[in-house]
Amino acid sequence: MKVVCDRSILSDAFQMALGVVNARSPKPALQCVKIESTKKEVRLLATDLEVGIRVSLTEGMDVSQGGEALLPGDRVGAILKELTSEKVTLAVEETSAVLETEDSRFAIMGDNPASFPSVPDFGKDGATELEAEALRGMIRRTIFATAREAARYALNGVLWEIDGKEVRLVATDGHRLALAKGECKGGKSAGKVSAIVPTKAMQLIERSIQDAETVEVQIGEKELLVKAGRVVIYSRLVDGHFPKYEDVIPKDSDKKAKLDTAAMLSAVRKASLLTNEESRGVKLTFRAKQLVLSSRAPEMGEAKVTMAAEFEGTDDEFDVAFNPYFLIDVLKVVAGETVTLQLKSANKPGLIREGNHYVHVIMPVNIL
Amino acid sequence: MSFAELQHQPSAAAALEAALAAERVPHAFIFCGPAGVGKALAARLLARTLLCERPKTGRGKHPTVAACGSCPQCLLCDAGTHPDLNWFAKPADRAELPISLVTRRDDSPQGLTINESVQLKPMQAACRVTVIEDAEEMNASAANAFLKTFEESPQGSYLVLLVTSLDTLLPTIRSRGQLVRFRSLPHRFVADLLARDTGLGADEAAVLARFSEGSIQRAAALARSDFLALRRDVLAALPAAGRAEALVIADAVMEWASRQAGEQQTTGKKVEENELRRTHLKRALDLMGSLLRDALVAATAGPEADLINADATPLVQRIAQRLAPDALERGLRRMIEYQTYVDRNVHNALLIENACLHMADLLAPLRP
Repeated sequence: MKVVCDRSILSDAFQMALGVVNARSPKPALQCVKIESTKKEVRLLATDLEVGIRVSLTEGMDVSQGGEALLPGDRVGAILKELTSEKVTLAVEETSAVLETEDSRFAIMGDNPASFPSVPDFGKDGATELEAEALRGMIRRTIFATAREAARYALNGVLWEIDGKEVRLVATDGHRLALAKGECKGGKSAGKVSAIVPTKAMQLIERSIQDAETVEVQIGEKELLVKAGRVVIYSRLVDGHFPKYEDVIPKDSDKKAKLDTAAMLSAVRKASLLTNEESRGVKLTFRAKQLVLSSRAPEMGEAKVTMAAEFEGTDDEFDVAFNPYFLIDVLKVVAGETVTLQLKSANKPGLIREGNHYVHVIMPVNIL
Repeated sequence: MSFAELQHQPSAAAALEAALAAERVPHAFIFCGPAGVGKALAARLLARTLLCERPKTGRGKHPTVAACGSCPQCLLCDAGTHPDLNWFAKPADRAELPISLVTRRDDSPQGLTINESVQLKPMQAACRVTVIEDAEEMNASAANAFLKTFEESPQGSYLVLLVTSLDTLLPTIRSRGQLVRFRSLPHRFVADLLARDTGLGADEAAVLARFSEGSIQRAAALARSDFLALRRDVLAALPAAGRAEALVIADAVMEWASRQAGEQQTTGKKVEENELRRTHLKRALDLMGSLLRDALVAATAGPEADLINADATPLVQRIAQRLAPDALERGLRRMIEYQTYVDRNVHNALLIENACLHMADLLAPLRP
């Protein structure tokens, strides 16, 4: 393989690939980045066996001979970063590589490219197209609700569902559930498909599609692939069953409060200051035009915060209590100025809605 | 036979082969047997066959299944980088297998955890295999975090637990895996392998093999730690030693164990060094006990006795003639008891001094 590359393009792509490499993997081949080149393009591949990344470069690459190489990620990344010249020549003989500029030359020992697990590539057909910013928003509004360390491993991931023109992301930890909906912009829909994607991959996708305008998504039997420009993110899927989330979303809530998002967030934050491990609950008392949030921690004291709210559904005073941290988590990610909180009774889940595209269910807590 | 490489484990090989040939492979195996007798090798062979794309079946009285050795899955297995074969073991610097290896936590190492390895869909092959060495060293919280995964591992996810004893395995884990027993290897086989791998002479290799309890791992460890030199010194000094000389021998033993521990540790952590020193002290106690054991065997079985110290038969005979069998038995019991004290963290130097003094007192009739 012999390629004359634009150094900064190659270096940026390499850093992106390095974000996935496990530098302390017990399998030395996995500490490497694989470089493949054909006449037309140069591809960088990296995987930590959970997620993978594939960066395709066409601009600034002058390939005189195709081939492949498996090179130690952190070393090559550091060299490319440190070099100052505009161009760098990469030549590969068998498993070792030479990086050369006008003033420097690095001979690097590589590994056998055949020992690198192949990272699935984006397929030719059946991709769903989404707006990148919309997808990032959906990820941000669901990912925090995934479980950590749950014995039911499926809850540690985010459920993807693509159904015709609609894309849904769902996350739950058993105490709360977040459902974000989005519209497909185009592409061929593959009928109804679903997959559970580990949280780590979701974070990587959110980070990697920042600069893109649109992304394409493919859900396969064993993997999820997200393509944004020259980058393809690969993720393995969780082999498990996601709870039937539709059943969790209450449909008979007859009480409704319209709340200013920022004011509510601030009020919950204040009220949460006097809660502790044992009494982790803030009581919400609704009146016609007013919401009172109160909390109490034994041996610490009590807090009471009042804010304006429009409440309908009953003329009586209505009490319900929630874990304030769950409320804070959701209020932080809601983009709109107002949210609606729908309720049934003090022991039924509360429903926070933002328009038609975001639903969040929170289980209430009992406080005496 | 695909398990031909697995020598001197006929029942284990037959059980695995039968399960593979009948395509009735249980989702979890527990390989139980002494360290260094082929459990890891068997796990590797099993995984290779399960992951292979084109396994070769042989018909006959005993149908066989073997990996083809040439498909991409086999090549990745041989390179040690197959993404669907994940191997976990107790870290060298830890006294137990921590929960951070089982489920993802803040202090988890980068890369897959055990639960992820089991629950993620395979990356390349049709199934995936997770091998856990030292599975009995899981602490209670790790075992509990693992249990749910173990009970409900998805279809096509195979687990192999390698243990040296079933005692410390949770009963709930023990009862959910198919047990395959591995036996100690014949001394001659261990000696041949040792001579081949270390370049030791046949006689020396034979001595170490007899001290190895049929474990290649232990024989190799003894070869690495200059056990032969220690044995030479102890056998020369012990029969003539009074109480004062016994203390000199104890010093030499302590010095040997500490030196070996210092040289062999790889993590620079005290936990590992102490563990290594304790292991070496147990081998030294083995050595003293072996003399008494041999004398006891020689006294009862006569000239055909199978002695550990076959090359020191005159000394063994002298002990057998001068000491009564019940004294030998008591002494032997004491040496075994001291070994358990080593694990219970009794002051090492005092323990070894006591053992040497006891031996000197016991062997007093040998002195003129």
